[in-house]
Amino acid sequence: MTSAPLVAVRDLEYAWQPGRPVLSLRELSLAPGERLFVSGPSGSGKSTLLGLITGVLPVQTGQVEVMGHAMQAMRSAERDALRADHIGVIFQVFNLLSYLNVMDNVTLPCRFSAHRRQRVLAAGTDLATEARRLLGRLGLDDPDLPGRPVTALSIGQQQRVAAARALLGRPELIIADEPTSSLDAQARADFVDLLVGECRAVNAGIVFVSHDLSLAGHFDRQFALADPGREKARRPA
Amino acid sequence: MTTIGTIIRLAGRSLWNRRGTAMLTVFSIAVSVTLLLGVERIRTETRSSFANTISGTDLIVGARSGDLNLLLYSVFRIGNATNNISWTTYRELAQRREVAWTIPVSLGDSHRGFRVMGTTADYFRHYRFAGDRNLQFAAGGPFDDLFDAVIGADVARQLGYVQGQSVVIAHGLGATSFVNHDDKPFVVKGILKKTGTPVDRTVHVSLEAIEAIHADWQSGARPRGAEISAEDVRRLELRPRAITAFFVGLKSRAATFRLQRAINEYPEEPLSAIIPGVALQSLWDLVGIVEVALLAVSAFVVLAGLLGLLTTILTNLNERRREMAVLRSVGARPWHIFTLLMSEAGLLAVCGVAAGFGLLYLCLAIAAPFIEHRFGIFIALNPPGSYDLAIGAIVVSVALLLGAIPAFRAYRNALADGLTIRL
Repeated sequence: MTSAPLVAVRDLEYAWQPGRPVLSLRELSLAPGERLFVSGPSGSGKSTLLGLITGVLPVQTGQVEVMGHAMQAMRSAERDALRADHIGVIFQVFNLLSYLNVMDNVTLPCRFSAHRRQRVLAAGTDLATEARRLLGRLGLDDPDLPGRPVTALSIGQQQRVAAARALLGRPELIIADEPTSSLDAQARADFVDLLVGECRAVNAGIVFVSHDLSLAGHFDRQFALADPGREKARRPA
Repeated sequence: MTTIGTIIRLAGRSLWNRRGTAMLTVFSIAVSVTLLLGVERIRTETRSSFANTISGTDLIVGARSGDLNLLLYSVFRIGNATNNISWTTYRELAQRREVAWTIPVSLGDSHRGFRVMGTTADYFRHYRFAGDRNLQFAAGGPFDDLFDAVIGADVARQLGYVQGQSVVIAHGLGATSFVNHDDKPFVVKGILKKTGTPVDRTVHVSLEAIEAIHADWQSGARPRGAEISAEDVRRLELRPRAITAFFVGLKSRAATFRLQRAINEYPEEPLSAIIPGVALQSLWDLVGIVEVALLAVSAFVVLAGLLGLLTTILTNLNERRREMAVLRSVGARPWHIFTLLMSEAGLLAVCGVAAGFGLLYLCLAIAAPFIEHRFGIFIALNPPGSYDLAIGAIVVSVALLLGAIPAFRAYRNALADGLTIRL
């Protein structure tokens, strides 16, 4: 049985300056619940690709479909709404707003998306309870932690708070842009285990960008971005 | 909570996180708003205070001098007379057929910093202020005895005087005097109700009493061995030789200019007759230029405060691009980012204006008694009027207008940066 892809990219090209594409991609797809590892050297267009999939950047050439929505045909506001409702994002560092505490950071997406808020409430719980549950699942089960300022947390804890924020409201797609680059080797593996495990639990697809190829084994598939105009995909052995 | 509510809450939390610089910005706006409102408040209160001090008087007559000087010393107890008017001249003018009443006043002495004014009982009958209000007694009544005094409400309150209190008048106008008429003490016969005019700060005695306390004085001093006791002075003929000025009420207003001209051309003595309203208007014309200059300076100070706000927001903008990217990642749209920055500018301005109002009332509460004591101008602590609120609204509006500059830059950054920062 085949299902509609969560993400489908075809003949995509993007240039910050005319005539100098930073990203050129013939085809890429992600099935619902699939976990994709994207690697590539600096300047290969990894972050640009994530910007296009999340709808923050407008599609210049080619097609990007997310959950059946053609991003190239959507207005900016529609793409923003799609991202708010269906996509969770984790950055490399500085994921959190320093002036909000842990709880407010985790529940922030539901302040911008009624859809995600409704999903939490429809599950018979409330935002705070769901946030605590997610934090607990990610190893942050200290009962005092939600009220703490995020500046009091370690980098590893901050990344897990960011993961909880991305997962709140069960978005179908998680975008992670080198979220482990500031962690040590053990913390890196632990974080990816937790993130992938939680995505699996809620059947969320994930696009995980990293330089660290040792993490590729945690994912269903690896995709390597090389120079613009060349890409290759291969299944893990 | 709505998305806008969330944005405003985020703006508040963000400002609180940067409360050091935010409070400095609020303080600079507050000080500038206080200055602007304070200048206007003192301007309007001064005008109101002056305008309410005298009414119903058609002419004020004094020795030849400038109109303003005569108005200021005779009505507002500010400054001094250049000369006196002889009693004969006063009586002659007072008996003219177009004159309905007169109030002679004699100034020059004081009591613990408050002016002493010699007058007649007509003062309590004819003097009008704040429209058509006449003087009323809170206790006692006009003077009967030679050494009776009637004190204003502030004199009674500040010195804690009650009826029957003994009062010693000092020679001259200093707050502290070494030359007192202590051989002829007065007794407080009446206490006037509060008027909000210099009357409140005046000790009133009869003209005869002024003559009595100076009966044994020669050339501004009391010669040793020539003292006349309080009992002995009662036996003297105490007809005033001169007065400082007199107020005139006419039977018909139509006679005002005719009598004014006649007095100004009075052949026996150089005199000036002024119409209080006209003299007051020339005072406003004189100070109007200064008022405009002060308002302009205050407005520029407010603008400087608002430019400080703009600088604060603009300076932090680059450092906050990651924050904007995080907000975009959780679903904030570019106009949400714009609204966030506008909310910050608005919150800073609203807090600055509110603090400015608070500071204004604090300053007025502290300065009002001093201004009242020093200048006789009553600054009422009234709630903010429509002008004050309009000023507040204008300051917030200008702040929002200026805030649109960093807000628009943040909006454009949000569009260009996406989820990564492109410097």
